[in-house]
Amino acid sequence: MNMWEEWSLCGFRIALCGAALSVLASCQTQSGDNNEATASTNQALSTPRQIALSFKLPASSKLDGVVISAATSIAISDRSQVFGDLATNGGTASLGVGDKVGNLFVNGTANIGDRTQVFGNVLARHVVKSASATVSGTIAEVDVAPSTTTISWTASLDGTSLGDVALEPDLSRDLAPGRYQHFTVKSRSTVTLHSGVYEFADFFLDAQARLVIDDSHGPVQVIVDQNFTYRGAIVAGYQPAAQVLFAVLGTTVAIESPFNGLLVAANASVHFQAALPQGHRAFVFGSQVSLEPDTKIAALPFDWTTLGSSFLPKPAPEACLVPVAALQPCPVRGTRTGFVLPGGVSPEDVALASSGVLSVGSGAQANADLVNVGHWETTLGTSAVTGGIWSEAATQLGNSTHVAGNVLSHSTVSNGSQVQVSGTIVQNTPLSPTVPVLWLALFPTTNLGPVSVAAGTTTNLAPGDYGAVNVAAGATLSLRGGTYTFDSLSSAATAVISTAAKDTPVIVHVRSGLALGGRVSRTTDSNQGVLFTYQGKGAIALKQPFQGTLAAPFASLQIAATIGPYRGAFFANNVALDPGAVVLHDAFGSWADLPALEDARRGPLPVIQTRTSNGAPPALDATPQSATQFVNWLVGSTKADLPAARGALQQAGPKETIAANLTQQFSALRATDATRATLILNAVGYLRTQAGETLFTSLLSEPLPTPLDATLEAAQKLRLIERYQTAAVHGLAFMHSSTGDALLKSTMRNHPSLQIRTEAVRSFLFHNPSTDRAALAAQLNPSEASFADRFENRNVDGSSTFDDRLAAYLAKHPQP
Amino acid sequence: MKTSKSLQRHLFMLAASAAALGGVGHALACQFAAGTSDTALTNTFPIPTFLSAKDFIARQAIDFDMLPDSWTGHGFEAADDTRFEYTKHWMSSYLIANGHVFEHRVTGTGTGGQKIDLLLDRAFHTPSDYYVTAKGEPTLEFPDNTLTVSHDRFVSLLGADDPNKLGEWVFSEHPPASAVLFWPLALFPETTETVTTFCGLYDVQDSETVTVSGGPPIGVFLPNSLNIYGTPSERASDLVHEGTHARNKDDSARAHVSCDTGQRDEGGSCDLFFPHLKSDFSGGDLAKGRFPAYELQLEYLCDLVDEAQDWVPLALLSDAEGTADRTAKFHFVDSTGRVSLPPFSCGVPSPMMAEPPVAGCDSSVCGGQKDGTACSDGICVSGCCQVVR
Repeated sequence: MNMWEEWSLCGFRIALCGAALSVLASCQTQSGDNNEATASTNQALSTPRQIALSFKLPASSKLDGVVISAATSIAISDRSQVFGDLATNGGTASLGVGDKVGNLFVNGTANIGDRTQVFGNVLARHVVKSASATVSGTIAEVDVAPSTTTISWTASLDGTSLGDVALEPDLSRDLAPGRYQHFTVKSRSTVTLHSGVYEFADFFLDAQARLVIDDSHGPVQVIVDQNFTYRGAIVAGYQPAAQVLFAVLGTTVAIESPFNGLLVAANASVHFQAALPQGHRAFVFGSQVSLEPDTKIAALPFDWTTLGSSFLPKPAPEACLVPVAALQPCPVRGTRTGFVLPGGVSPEDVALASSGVLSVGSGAQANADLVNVGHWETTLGTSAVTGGIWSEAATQLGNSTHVAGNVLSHSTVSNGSQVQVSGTIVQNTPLSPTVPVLWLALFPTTNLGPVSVAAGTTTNLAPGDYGAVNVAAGATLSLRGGTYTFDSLSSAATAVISTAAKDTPVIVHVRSGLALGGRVSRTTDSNQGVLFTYQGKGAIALKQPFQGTLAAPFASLQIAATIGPYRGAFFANNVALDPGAVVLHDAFGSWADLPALEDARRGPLPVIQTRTSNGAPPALDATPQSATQFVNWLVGSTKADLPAARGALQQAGPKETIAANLTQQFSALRATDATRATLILNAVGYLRTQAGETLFTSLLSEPLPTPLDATLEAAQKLRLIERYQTAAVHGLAFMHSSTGDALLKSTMRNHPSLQIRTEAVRSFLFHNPSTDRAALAAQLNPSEASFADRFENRNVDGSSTFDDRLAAYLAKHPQP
Repeated sequence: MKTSKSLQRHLFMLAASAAALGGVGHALACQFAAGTSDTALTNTFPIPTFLSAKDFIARQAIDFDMLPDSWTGHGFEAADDTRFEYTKHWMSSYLIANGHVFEHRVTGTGTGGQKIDLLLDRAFHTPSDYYVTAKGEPTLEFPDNTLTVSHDRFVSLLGADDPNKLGEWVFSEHPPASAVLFWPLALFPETTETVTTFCGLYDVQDSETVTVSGGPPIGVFLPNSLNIYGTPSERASDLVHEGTHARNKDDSARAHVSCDTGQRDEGGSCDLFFPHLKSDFSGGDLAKGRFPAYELQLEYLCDLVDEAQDWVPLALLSDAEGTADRTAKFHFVDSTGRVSLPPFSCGVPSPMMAEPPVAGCDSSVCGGQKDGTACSDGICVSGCCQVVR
């Protein structure tokens, strides 16, 4: 094993082990031989090699949600804001005064200082929270062990060293991927890095020096063997959020200016300066991570899968939305997604909406409402022009901004000079509770396959489910009214996606991967809306005019300035309207119809083939066995079998013996099967026997249990006896015996249960419809006289309708 | 409830037996058994059930947002086994979707050759109305050019054994605690709606929670007991009930009230009752009305027992009558807390649902004849010759 391979292994081990001390010590030994290693590497430089990199996060955290993570500790100084989650595999996470952070996952102690706000949950072994701190979610003192899954990937490098990268001030250099020695770039110089892997012995980017990231063909990976000092700027060259990852094997990392990228430095103490006013946009994993006061770090959208096929874990598979038998493929995957708006705000009135950061650049315009339900920030640059603003976050209005409407903020509103607000400014006032706007995007696992629109051609695509859709340069993809699902959608800069929404909205659900390089237009005869939804988290950059509504709740959206305006509405996690960009609001118009459109697309509810009869009933005779068989048949029979059931009971004999047999079955089952026992009482009642009357009389005399408490279980013992007594009352009324009727009349007044008193009245009147109801009412408890006027829901004899009966009842008993 | 040590030991054995019967891999949340009505309902579907019902099941799981994390291990992967909770859930959903007819019509040809189409009775609402309510279809309106989402679609969760709850609709402004366990809920951090159905709706026997020898509490099922709430009709009507809560989210006039005072009480078990004509609704237009949850639950139960499809099992109808009775008698009060019964009753107060002879009905004319058969003055309906003029 040569020394460089040992170096790589060391970094690998450190990451793997979460900086366990014993391993760290062995690595420090290696690092102490640094000069030897550097010297000996020359012999090995010519051989290609691979560097394995890895780190772990707490199992309960999500890679996409974490912004700052550490093997041992995190220290956030006062008034800092971390626009995402914090996670440590051990040690502590200390939050100062007045911080704002997302979820905390701490495999140790979480200290939360005064007035700090946690927008999410706190999961830690031990939590020490100031009384003035707030946690919007739940606090749980639990084991937050590191995941058993390592996030690992391999960076491949050509072995040849390309020497130092050393730029004096005011120079520039375009650097190809590969292995270099020392990286030292001084003030005002620029270095361009391209998609691929770089390795430097150490890294120093001076103040005002620039690192341009060309990530047009994948991410840029920079491996730094020793220390890392960053004072310059990272400039996104292609993707709106620079897809650059720095893997530092050294022990010291200093970030002293706005940093936009990923930083994995498992051995290092990572220190961030505030770098105001911009702050940072990053993902960080260090041994210890500390932030100066007032530091702001936002999440950086990054597609981890682009680091290589060895990346683990794989993206979590979408849930199969439907039940499938074991080992059968899932037919439909997808999710219900959407966004939220403050109550009272219609999605049809909104031009830009975000749930994180909403920024409108200098001179940019959006002629309808802006909404930011996120807690981070809302900013309008100089001379920006917008409609009204609804913001959960602190809102900054730059100089000479013009807001046509109100500015409502749950946080503060700060004004520059010459700001014009046509409405009122209300700050530090809660917005109306949010309401969701959701849609269901279902992506069948089998679809019509990929679609490739070749350069210079036009493809008319019918609504349906498709795989990856790509529109080449100069090509046109025409979509018409209906719903489409695409696994992914990409278009070249000179491509056109044309939508014809005539009489029917065009709805396009994109599952993962949305790269719109070209225009999205809407035909002039369209009278309905156009909606593109995107389920993915990858950043979206619009650089050509877009006509329609784009809803990407998990993605960051950058809208660049174009010659022509955008016409539509834009909903995303973070929204950045670039300086000079113009959005002319054009509502989708069919948000309210989405559920109906979804249902219509899926067709009517499937109907299950059903069986309408349990066949002919078994003969019922004097044997207990026949009674058992009849009851078994009865519980399996259907409504359509009722006439046959009645016929069997009418024809059965001897009835007294059969009733006695059924009574025995009831006694055996009444405590274990209420359904069966009640059906038996029905059968006994229909036989009209003395045995039946005896049974019903006995049942009605049973005392009612008194519930011991207010639980359902206590109540059901009472309800169960009432159910049997109800069947007894029905049976007695059906008999029309003098003794039975007398018992019924007594029951109407004297039974302790309201249920039984009402059923006694009801069943008596049902079977004696010519009864003088007024006279009967006079015999009831005065407060219950109205029982005699209650009526049946079903039309019993066809002489009146429900409405007739209700009208008559209400005329006599007006409702308050 | 306090239990003696010997009883605890006995219960522990029962729990162990139940766990063993539950089979490997089944997380025993609720009792692994099927009640009489559930079994009867399963038997109305041709065997094998899953093949017959799979299209509906696939649709139902999406409609009700059956969160796989919550239902896997509880029938989500064995939807033809009636002993599992999910199987009971989708069967109850099917009961809502197809268990009754909106209009009870009899058609035939009279002796004079005339076509006859008699509307004998009708339900309060269509099955589709109830299904849409139960699955949490959002209601979107544009009053004054402002979108109002009266509620969100909700996620269906399976709860555990709870002595006080059968179902629960929860509107949450923040991620619920369950998001820790069911991470997809965290996708909606600002507002989440869930409907949780608890073991009481699935269990056959009563359950009890006991602590054995200082260990964690365990749920056990009591011998010689039964749970009258674990039936398809109770479950189906509870889904309608909870869905109504979602629809009434911003309607305090329709919220639950205290059974003692008649005043609004989120934890109350009663509602005020607002009687209405059936003709106020023509079918498919339930969303235009607002009902207290128990009132719509009662209307659903009445429609089920009085307008049931022919395939609905008698056992289930018998249970449904009991559920309707309990709902009508114990969940409505006036604004002072006095019991206020609905003016109507559902089902048939008679053994075997036998109706009394209709005056003037000559059963000899239509005895044994199918409905719609021509008779002297019209067509046969329920054994009587219905005169058609």
